[in-house]
Amino acid sequence: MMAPVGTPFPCPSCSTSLVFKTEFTLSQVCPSCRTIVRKAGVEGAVLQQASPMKEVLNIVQLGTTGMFQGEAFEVIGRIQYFFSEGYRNHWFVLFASGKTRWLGDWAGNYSLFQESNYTGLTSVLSAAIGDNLTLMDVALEVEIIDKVKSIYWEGEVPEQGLLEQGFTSLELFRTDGQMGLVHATSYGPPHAYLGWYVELKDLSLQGTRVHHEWL
Amino acid sequence: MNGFEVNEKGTLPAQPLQVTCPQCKNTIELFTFAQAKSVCCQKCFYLSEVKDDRLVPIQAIDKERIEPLLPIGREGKIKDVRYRVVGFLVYKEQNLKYRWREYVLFNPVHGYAYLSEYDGHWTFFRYIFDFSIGARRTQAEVYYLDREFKLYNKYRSQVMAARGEFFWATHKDTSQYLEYIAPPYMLTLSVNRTEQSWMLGEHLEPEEVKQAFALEGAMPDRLDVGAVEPFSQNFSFRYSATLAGWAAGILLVIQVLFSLFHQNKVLLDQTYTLTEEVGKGTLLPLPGPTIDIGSSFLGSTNVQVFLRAPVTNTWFATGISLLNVKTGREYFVEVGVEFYSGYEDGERWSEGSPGTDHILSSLPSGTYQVYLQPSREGFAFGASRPESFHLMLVQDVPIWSNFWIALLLLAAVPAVQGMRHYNFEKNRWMNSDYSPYEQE
Repeated sequence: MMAPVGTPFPCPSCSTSLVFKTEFTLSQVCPSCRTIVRKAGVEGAVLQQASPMKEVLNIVQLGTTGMFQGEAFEVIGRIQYFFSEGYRNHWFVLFASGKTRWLGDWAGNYSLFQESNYTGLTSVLSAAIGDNLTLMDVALEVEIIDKVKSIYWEGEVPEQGLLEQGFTSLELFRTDGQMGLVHATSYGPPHAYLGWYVELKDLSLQGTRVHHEWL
Repeated sequence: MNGFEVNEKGTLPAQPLQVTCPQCKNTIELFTFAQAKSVCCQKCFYLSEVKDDRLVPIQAIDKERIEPLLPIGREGKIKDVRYRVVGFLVYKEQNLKYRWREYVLFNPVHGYAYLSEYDGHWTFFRYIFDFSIGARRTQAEVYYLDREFKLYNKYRSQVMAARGEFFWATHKDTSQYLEYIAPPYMLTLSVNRTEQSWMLGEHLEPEEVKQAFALEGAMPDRLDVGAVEPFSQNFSFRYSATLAGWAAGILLVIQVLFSLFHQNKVLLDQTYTLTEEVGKGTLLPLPGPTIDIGSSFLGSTNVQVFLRAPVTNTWFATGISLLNVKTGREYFVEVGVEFYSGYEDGERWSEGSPGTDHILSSLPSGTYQVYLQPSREGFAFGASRPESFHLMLVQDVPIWSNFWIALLLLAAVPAVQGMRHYNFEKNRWMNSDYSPYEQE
């Protein structure tokens, strides 16, 4: 069974109407029953359920819309990472133009980033705090080195980010506001993101969880 | 479904998550939900780690039984942001005795902040991401916000007591801390093998903290000078020196302008020959000329008297009377000169001067008759008594003595503030291993 982008289809478990909003994702979690629904489903395959998301007091939620630098976007998915210490929300956002980005949301910090490449010569696993790593020729400083302990997700997201449990996670930054993330393991190329920290007010978010008393 | 999972979709949870202390079964309220990494029970002081949505007991943190001044769960507003107190820690610097207290503040939108209190001095910290010194951590100064921050302290800490919840494993924290100060600000670097973070701290008055969190009762007394306590909120040394500098400049300009407008009019410039009264040894009085004293642009004027006489190891003086011919009012002044010199132990010495001057102030304009009453030493061995003297009267001269007095008074304020500032700074650095002052 194929579920074309933009075409509604019923959840194979609870029949809730679902739709894939972008070609960049292969599966999504049904918001009603948490069944993982694949774009190319196999008839008769055992349906899996996604674990419930953890409450981290985020104000962004699925369906939140916003505007950044004149471009409208919608939050269509989330990957939630928990590390030895700390957590991160990676919200998958779809812009009106069809491009996708990630909206980073953790501990009061907001960022917009996208897939990147690690272009350094040394292994990221040998990096130490304060070292510089290069993503797409942008040198960033290592801020945090941690381990991905658990991953939760909802909505529709690209597959790769869901497969990184046990990976080493590095958070990188520059004093000019650029940021980077690298998930790496001893086999295979590291998975990198590059972007910028942004102010919440610059996102013009609508449809967030009610939080006005904390602004 | 358990409490750590999302239950409310359209709104933030209205109530904290309630969990059970694994040690004493007390109910603990978790305000940060799944963000919490370690939790310390307020009843049994046992620290637990949050693992797989359960509390796993770790150890007791009860070396100090001290209750937080800001209660866990209390909300307050600092820098226009509302925070909730979610954690409290009592720290001790390793190998030293002194303690300080920190409160972990949380806002779901703005994240975490901290209030630190040491000896009654409060500092509010927030994370910053626009500053770094890389992996080099040996600088004695760093620059941020157009200020020079000086290294104040380097240390590792030990947790002596805890209450509430924390997003890091407090029992595993081996961070080293570096503190740089530029009062009222502090830059703090926390660094360990897996993380570095910079925070900007700002001094808060105890009253600000009290009002922000609606605290009752007295705040801890302040001892000594805080690390980033400003010298004076309203009248700093720099402010007083700048103000005094400007005032001195204006004073100088006014004095120079006044000087330009002064007439410096010579009323009398004459040499007189002395005549002794026959048989008496005293000098005859001398009638002087009639002089016209005008007025200055300020109204009344002054007259400067210059006297010069060839005295050698003797003295000479003359009384000068100015008699207003119209009003009959007399203005009198006596001026004198003395000069002594000699040889003693092969060295020449001298004392005094053959010339002097004196100012008569606030003289009304008018015509004055000048009378002179000279006097000199009757007889002095080895002295050369003057036979003449030179007298000059100059009207409307600029007086600089008032200017110097005013300048001295102006300088006194920044001078006093400067001394107070020096002592203040010296006290501030007393608790630092990097003091630029010599400490007793």
